[in-house]
Amino acid sequence: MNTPDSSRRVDRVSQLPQDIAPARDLWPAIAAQLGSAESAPAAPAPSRRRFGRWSLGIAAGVALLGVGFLIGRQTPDALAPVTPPMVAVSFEPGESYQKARAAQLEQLPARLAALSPESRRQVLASLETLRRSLDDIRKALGEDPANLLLQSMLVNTYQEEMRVLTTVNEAGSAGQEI
Amino acid sequence: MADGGVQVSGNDSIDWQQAMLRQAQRGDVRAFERLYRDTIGRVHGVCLRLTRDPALAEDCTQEAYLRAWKALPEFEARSSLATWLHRIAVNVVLERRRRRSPDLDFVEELPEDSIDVQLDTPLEEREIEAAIAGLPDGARDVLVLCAIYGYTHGEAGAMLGIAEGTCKAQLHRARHLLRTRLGGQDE
Repeated sequence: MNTPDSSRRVDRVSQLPQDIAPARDLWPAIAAQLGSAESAPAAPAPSRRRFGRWSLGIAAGVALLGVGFLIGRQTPDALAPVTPPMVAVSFEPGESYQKARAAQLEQLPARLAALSPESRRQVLASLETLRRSLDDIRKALGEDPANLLLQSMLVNTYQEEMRVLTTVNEAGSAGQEI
Repeated sequence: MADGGVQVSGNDSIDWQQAMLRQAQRGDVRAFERLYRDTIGRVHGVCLRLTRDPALAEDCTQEAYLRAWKALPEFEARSSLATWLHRIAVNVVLERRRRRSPDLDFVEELPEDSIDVQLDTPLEEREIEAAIAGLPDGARDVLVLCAIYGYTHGEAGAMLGIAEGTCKAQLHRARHLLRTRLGGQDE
């Protein structure tokens, strides 16, 4: 015969915590084994039917920017890893990212001055396109805040801007042309 | 899945887990680490409850995330990341179980006092966890997936490679065994 208490305790099974943290952080061991995983194949492109009017325009702009930027740089492997921007409220990056960005921008004029006129023109054009893209994405997110593609593009564009700034500044400090 | 959501100005909720997922699918290890941190408790919880062995559970959890990383490009964001990770983790656990030494195969059911699963939980929860850990593999697998993690019989059956009817029967058996054990009487 089952007691009311045993039945109650069986019912408690569904209330047990779902999360049980491991006794130690497993990430370092996992990260060490990812190996060449950093070059994991890219996901298939999402269907265009899911894109809104803004998304298509912005995607084209970012794609053009990517092509232009790739033409200009010679050492993609030398790119420093960047931290994905922590986007806080109002779709803006966090304070630490803003500080890092400000520091990169502060060095930029001096680094640009060290570049050839053609490289300088390419960098400035890339940065201008990125800024326009960021403005467009923010505006689009204002109309469609839950759009995952736009959210992802905002993060990507911030990262791309940081990559450009980092590459220019590192190349400039090393006395190299990009 | 509720985790990963971030409140923004107004009442809009942005699911940053989806954004991180897209980043990780492009090969961003840091984004994958954030996904790991978001989901590790739930994945490890399943592995620990299915294996009843903390060291083995950690191995299975690591293996599950490595497999998930490799398979990320195939993951469709429309489905739940947690469910997908659970499916991988259950596969890893079942494979390890099949690879066990044949000498140990007869040990389907363990006495409760032999279970070395220490959880930082209140006494009653610990007793219930110990009773669950003492169940036979098949019954325990179904109870864990259906009763604790809320999967349907169809979903749990698909993960475990058993028919839905078998899943229902195993859950019934698990509840009966659990009720008996928690009531402190002989079966």
